[in-house]
Amino acid sequence: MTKPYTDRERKKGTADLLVLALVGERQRHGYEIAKLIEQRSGGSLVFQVASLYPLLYRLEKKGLISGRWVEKAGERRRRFYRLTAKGKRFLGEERQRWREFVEAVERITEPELA
Amino acid sequence: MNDDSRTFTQDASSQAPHDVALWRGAVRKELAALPGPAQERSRIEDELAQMLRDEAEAGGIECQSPTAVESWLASQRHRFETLVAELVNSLPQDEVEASALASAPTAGMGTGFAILSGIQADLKVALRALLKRPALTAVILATLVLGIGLNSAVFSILNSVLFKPMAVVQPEQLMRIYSVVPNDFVLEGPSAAPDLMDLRSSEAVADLAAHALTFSALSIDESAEIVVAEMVTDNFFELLGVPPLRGRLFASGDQTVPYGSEGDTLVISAAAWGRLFDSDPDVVGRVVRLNGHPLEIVGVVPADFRGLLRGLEPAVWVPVSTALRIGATPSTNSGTATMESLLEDRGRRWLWGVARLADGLSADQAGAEMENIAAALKAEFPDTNDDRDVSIIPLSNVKVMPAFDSSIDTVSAVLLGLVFLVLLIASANLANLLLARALARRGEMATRLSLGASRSRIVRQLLVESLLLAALGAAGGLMVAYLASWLMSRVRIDMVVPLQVSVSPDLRVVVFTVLIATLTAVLFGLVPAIEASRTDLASVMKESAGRGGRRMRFQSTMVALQVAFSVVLLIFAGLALRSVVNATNINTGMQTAGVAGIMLAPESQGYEETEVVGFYEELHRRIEASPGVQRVSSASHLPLSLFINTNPAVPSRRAGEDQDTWPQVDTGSVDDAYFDVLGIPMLRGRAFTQGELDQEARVVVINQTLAEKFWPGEEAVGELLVTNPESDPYRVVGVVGNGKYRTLGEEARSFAYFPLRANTSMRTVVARFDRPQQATGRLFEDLAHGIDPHLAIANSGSVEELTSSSVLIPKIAAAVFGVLGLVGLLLSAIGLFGVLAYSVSQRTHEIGLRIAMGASRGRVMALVARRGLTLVGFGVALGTAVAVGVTRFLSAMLYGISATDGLTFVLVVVVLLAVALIATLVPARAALRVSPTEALRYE
Repeated sequence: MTKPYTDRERKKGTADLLVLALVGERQRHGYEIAKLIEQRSGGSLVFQVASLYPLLYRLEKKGLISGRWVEKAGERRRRFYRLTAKGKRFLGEERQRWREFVEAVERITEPELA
Repeated sequence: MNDDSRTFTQDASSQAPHDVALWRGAVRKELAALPGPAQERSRIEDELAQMLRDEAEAGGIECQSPTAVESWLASQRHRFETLVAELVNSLPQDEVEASALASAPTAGMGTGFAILSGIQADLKVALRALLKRPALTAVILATLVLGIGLNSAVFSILNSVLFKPMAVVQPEQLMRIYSVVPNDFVLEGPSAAPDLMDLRSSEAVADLAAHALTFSALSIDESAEIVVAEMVTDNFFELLGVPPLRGRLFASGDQTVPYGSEGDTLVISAAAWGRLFDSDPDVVGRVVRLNGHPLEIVGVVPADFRGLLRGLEPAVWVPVSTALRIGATPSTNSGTATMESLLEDRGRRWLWGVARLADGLSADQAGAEMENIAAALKAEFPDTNDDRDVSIIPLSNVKVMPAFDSSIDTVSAVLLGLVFLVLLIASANLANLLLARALARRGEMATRLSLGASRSRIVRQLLVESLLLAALGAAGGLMVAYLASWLMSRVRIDMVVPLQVSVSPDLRVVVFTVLIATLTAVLFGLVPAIEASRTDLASVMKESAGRGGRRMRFQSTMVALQVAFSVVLLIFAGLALRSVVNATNINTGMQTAGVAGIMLAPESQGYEETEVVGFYEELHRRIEASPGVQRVSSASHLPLSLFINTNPAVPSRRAGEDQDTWPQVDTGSVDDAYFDVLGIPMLRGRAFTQGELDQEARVVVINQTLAEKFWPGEEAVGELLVTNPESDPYRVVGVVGNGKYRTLGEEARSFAYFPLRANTSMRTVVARFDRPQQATGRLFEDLAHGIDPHLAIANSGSVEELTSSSVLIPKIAAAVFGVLGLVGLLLSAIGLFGVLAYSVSQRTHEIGLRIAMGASRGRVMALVARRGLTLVGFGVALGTAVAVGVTRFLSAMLYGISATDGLTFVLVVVVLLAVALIATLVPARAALRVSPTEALRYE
């Protein structure tokens, strides 16, 4: 069973969830992740690289994602991150928790359909 | 803008618009506060630089110069603070602890605090590195402790005996006063009592005291022994500022002549208080007997004051006049003298003077003043003082007395030099280990260097490691020193008077130990550190292919030197050892198995002449009645017992010659049984008869050397020997075989035996027993104490024991050199083993390849062994050459062996090669275990 969030955890967890979800699709490099968060949120969520990096670093230390240097022809060397098996499990749980959270919020905030 | 920076900007933009290094450098500056190991930091910088560059590019920000990059990053600075804080939380905790390493180059060097915390981090890293290889660390520490401990122990002993400042008040004001005879062998000698009293009246001195050593029998209750006693003027302790530990010490009162207002009192040393009285708190007021006379103990002298003659520690101090009245003879006065003549005769110089200068006076001013007095004395007493001057030397500049000090300095220097040699051998191991370790981490060093860590920073880290080792070594060394001191203080050298030296390490020993440990660490840690910091990335990459030639050369040189030092020490040890063997095998001209004896001097304990005669008659009777005793004899002294009597003598036909030209002949007095008991062969004639002894007949027995010297080719028996033109000559009644009389190493020496007079007080009584195990000193002591329980016994034991002082010096030398040699050998073997083992591990690849290519085991082993034996060969050759040059300094203490004795040299070389072979074969066998597949996969 998933445990409910504390406020602090939710803030952190939200960012974690975003990054893990993006990396879960395919491997991505750091700036790409920042850019995608901005694009997909329609500009309402903005992560500067300097703010994003500690997050990536922490997730990698926790073993949820893993990075490796990739040098593609004609492109400069970048570090690409992908989801680990542990990360996949964690992302699944996070999604579940998020859904429960959103549903709870919706139940309270949406007017009841007659 | 200067030219350099403009050039840099142009270069950077022309080669690559967004040079990685440019970003990296800028990011590193922003992350200066970030802790963490170098590797981790470098990774973070790398990633961040890449991402930030992407971001800047995408934002279309112009970032083609360092200034532009930096200013863009500066605009993001508010984010970096959070970033650093976040990262620190994510870093593993131990990595944060060891962090200062990498952060120091930019952030750490600025403040003292940062350097301190940097060193703290260095220490942690060093400790972890040492603990990672506990066995190796233990070996290296053991060698360091051994090397440093040996130095500390020797220094501690020398310090206690020679260097420690005396426990007196304001020693800089104290001056030794010597009477100087120009051109005499002993330039600075003792002074005459009245001369000292005249000097005492000088304005230049606040006060002047005097002292002289004497050996006396101290009896406490039932037991008695001979002790070092010092007779002192009443003001002695007052002048020096020595306070009593218990009771009181002598006080001068208002006496103008401080030679004995004190009466029948004595004070005892703290050591004597502990040893003889079990530190009895009620010792003050007890009455003991000195030379048979009752004296009252009035006080105890504190432990840190051991008299003014270093190395000779008095057990008791007695007022001068008291000592003279009870028959103590000062060791500085030759012949007998009355108390009056000792105190009043300016010709009798036997007192050592010590003065405290008047306030504010320099030694030079006082010296000038004293010279005036000496000049006045010369004029007033030309008979005795004509050739005498006064010399005053600051107390701190005198060790024992000026005449001996230079040879004491030499012996100390040689001893310290030898133990330092051992330390060098140990240090070579340290250097090799540190170098091996430093280079094993050269990848890390190179990364740090490329990240901008300064070379000095890396040298510092390595030096901290060697200092840590040295600190541990110093701690262990101090323990060794304390242990050695404890042992030394328990050793009593049984001579006529048991000599004992109190050794107690003090702050100077600690300082000395720390100093040599630091020196060792810096000298032997610096070379490897500098060597390791020379590493650059390129050479590290290449390193895996080749071998570090320079470092192998350094290690090899160290090992060769170690072996050379060991050869020198071992040859010293070998020569000294063979000397002892020779010394104990030297024909002393006596058959001493089953012979034992006792040395006594009852007159010094108040026996009258007739009592002496009666005592010895009774002792002879009791010994003769003991089981197993064949025959008993008395002599004035045994040969080789450090007593030397000489007399001028000539054959009667030369009696008319000037007496000054008569040769000196060693003499002794013996009874009728002496030659028989000691097994000295009677070549011609006969021994004395009881009748001749009773009548004190003018007869003499001479040895063969004297017979051949005085009556060459003639029959000496029946001839006359003249010892004094004014008295009757002695008729030669017998000629006996030669022997050794003064030292074992001496050339054939003339000796004349005279009849022992019945009233001779100081004697050695010896007896021959049926079986050697019956011949013990114990029996003699019991018999003597059966007659007089209070009698002090100077010495007792078998003849070997009684004459053991003759082999004392070679035995001490053999022990000292033997220990040093073995330690050196052990350390060299460790060093050799280490270097070869390392070289094998470095050549795993090559050796594996050779085995894969079908090289035989023999060839592989030979490959490794050859390398080790070449090193040893160089070392042995060098060491032997050095030894040939320096062993001649030993020749004075060698017996029956040349300083370049071939057999010893060969033996040492063989022993060393054998040890070297073992140290070589172990790594060589390890080389055989190299698996070809593994070796080739390596790297």
